[in-house]
Amino acid sequence: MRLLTYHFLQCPKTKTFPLLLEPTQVETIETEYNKEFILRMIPRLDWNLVRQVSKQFAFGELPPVAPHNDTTDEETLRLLHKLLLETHIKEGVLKSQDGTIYPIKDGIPNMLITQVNQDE
Amino acid sequence: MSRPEYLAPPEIYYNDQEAKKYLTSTRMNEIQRSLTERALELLCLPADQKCLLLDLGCGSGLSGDVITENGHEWVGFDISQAMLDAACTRDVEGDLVLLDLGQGLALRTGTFDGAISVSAIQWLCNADKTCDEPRKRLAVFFSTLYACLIRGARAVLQFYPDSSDQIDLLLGAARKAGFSGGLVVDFPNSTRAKKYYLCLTAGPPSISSGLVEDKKTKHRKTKNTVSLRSKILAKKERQRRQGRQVRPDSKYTGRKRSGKLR
Repeated sequence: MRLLTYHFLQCPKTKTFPLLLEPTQVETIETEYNKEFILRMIPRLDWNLVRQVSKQFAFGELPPVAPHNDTTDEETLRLLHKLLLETHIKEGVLKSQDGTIYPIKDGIPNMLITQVNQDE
Repeated sequence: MSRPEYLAPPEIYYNDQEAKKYLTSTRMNEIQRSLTERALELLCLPADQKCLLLDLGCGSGLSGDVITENGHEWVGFDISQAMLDAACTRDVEGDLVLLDLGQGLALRTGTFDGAISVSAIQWLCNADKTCDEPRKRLAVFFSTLYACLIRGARAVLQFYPDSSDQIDLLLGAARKAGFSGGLVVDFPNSTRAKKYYLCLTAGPPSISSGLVEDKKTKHRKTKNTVSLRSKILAKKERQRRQGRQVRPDSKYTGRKRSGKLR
């Protein structure tokens, strides 16, 4: 799962956002940089969470305000591309605020509600 | 036509063996590919723009490959672990999430540019467990789908309905969630090649939303300028000229009978 998808996921049971990400295995797969796509994704992201995740994954500090459409800050956009589209979570868990745990196995988060209940 | 959704719930039906079929069968690949290509065509995405799409019931990611080839990013949902594992072995580009569509999409609002689905949503019309109610599951599915799409985005869902009731059920559920749009039927004259696509737009209908709104143009009845009595009198006169036996005209001619005699 790329971090971009993580930024869009919420708890299916309580509908809370964000889920707490605890990765145990992370992989980087390089992809083609597309500035336009990154710019279009920025308004859909929770910028505070992006900054937090950036720190968590040691990508460094991001500006306090999300870049606008006509930004010249190429460096930040490159960083976002690396963070959101090239960083894959292979193994780990997603934790909801109510304590439910959604495991990520082989890059696939398991968001089934019933199965999670049975595991408990 | 065989109906796998009557055999077992999807998470059980699509086991390792079934997933392997999708990996090896070129015929299945071809069908999935052509269905996806048609669905993308109906999605009417803006040209030369990389979009973020949802693939509902992505399975082994055959449909996802077509999306990638068209230069878009995608996130796929499926309920079958075996199918997702098959997708992993194929090294698909998109992200995969194990999720029951009937429990709702665990996504934030306004995040996706569109959604496609190939042969998946007919599974939602079945109750596999006693606690399942298809109507409720469909309502949850369509309302969460509506929420996660950006306004004006489209969703094209290809499915195999087993009856016209099922089509009505799906259309009704989609409409209740706020979608506008309708059904596109390809090859309507052929029983085997006939394909149904539910084309939905999140938000108000536009001219291009594929919906043919039957606007009720009010045909106001033009008032009869000629009264009934004068019509009858003219008719009687005509018949008299023809030499037939006609009752004489009176003040009661052309009147309705009173209540007693009716």
